[in-house]
Amino acid sequence: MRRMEPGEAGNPLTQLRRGVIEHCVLALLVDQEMYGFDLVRRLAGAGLVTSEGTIYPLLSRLRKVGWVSTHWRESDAGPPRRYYTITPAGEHALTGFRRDWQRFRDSVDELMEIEDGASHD
Amino acid sequence: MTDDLVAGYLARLEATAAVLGPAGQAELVAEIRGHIDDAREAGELSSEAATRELLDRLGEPDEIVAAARSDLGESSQPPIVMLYRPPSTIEETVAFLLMTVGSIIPLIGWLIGVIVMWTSRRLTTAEKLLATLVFPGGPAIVVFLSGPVGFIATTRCTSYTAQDSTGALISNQSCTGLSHWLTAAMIGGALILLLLPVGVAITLLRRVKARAALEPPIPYLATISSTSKSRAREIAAVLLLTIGTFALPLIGPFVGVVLAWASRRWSTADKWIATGLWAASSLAFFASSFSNLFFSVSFGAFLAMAVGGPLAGVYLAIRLWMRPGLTTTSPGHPTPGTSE
Repeated sequence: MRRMEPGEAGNPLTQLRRGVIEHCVLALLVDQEMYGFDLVRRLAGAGLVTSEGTIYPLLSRLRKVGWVSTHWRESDAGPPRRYYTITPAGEHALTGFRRDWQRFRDSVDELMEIEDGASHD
Repeated sequence: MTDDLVAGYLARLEATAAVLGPAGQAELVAEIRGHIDDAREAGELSSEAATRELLDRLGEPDEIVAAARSDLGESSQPPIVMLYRPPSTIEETVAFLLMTVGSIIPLIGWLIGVIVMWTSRRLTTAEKLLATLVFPGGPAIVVFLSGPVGFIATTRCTSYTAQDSTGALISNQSCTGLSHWLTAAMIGGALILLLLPVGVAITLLRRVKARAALEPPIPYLATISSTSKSRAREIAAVLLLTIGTFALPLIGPFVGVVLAWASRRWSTADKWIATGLWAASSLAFFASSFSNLFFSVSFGAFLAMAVGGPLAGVYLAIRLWMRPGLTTTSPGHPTPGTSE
């Protein structure tokens, strides 16, 4: 089992991943509500998560800042499940992120091409 | 075996999540447990290998709890910060309060105030002597003496009729008492005597505060929630001023006034208004009761005493509930997790 290295939380890629994953969650919820397990699996399937358990605190945060709302629903087999839906505030945040992400991605891509030319890796 | 694996994992998670506080811990464990239940439903816990795989993918409890904590300002446990406060001047404030308005409490009020004042390290001996000599018994002495003095000062005339040697009726009048000018002077003098100790107290208290501000600040640990929740002090002050006026006359409302001054939730103006209300009514009570001669207390006097404390208490209560809580922090809408 992978242990977290000291300083890893400060790793820019970790921060980046966390910010991106949150908005990926929002993107997944735009068209439909989903319950936790489903969400986690979708993200894992997209290769975005190394530790599935960390998605739950992330979802909790999204709830606290009001970008998603949750409600419980009875399921046929087993205990009730918590379903997540995106809120208008969340949709607004997602729109903003899309725009920022595109800009960011384009800038990084450009720089990376230049980097590649002079890369020493 | 798979159940043992799961139980062991959840136990470790619960232990690690204790730093999140009871609410955060319960929530996180419940969600992970729910995830495992859903996985079980989906048939992923069919074998030991599969269970280990699932728990691996969930991640180490350390990681999960770290994710719950590392979000800025979002950990269930509010941040503990080291704050500094200027040294407290509560002792000197109480002392001077006792020596001025507290002198209404017969005998002990002023005395206790003086004793506490002498223990202060922030006043020179000269200043302490000044405060003690101006003047013993406090301004309430004026009130206590106003009865007997008033008695002497009031002009009283008795008239009588008599027969003189020729049998004619003579009526005469004999008056005792002081002239009006003298009476007016005495009233003026009384006012000065009332206000002088208050002036001295205010001046000295200002010096005390200035000196305290020069002392090194005192560090203390505080969290956001701990400074906002308890309103015990304010509730006690209001109760003492209202019910305490009747249950514990004199002392009750006085303690209420002291507590009000010790509170951070009322502005200084509010505190002065409440103190003034209470002091004025207490003065009125004593003045009229003594003036009624030998402590026969009229209904008006009782009314005066009964009104001031509760009035002050109600005023403070209203001001308290009018103000929003000082430190109810609302997290607002921080932008989560951007790397900038």
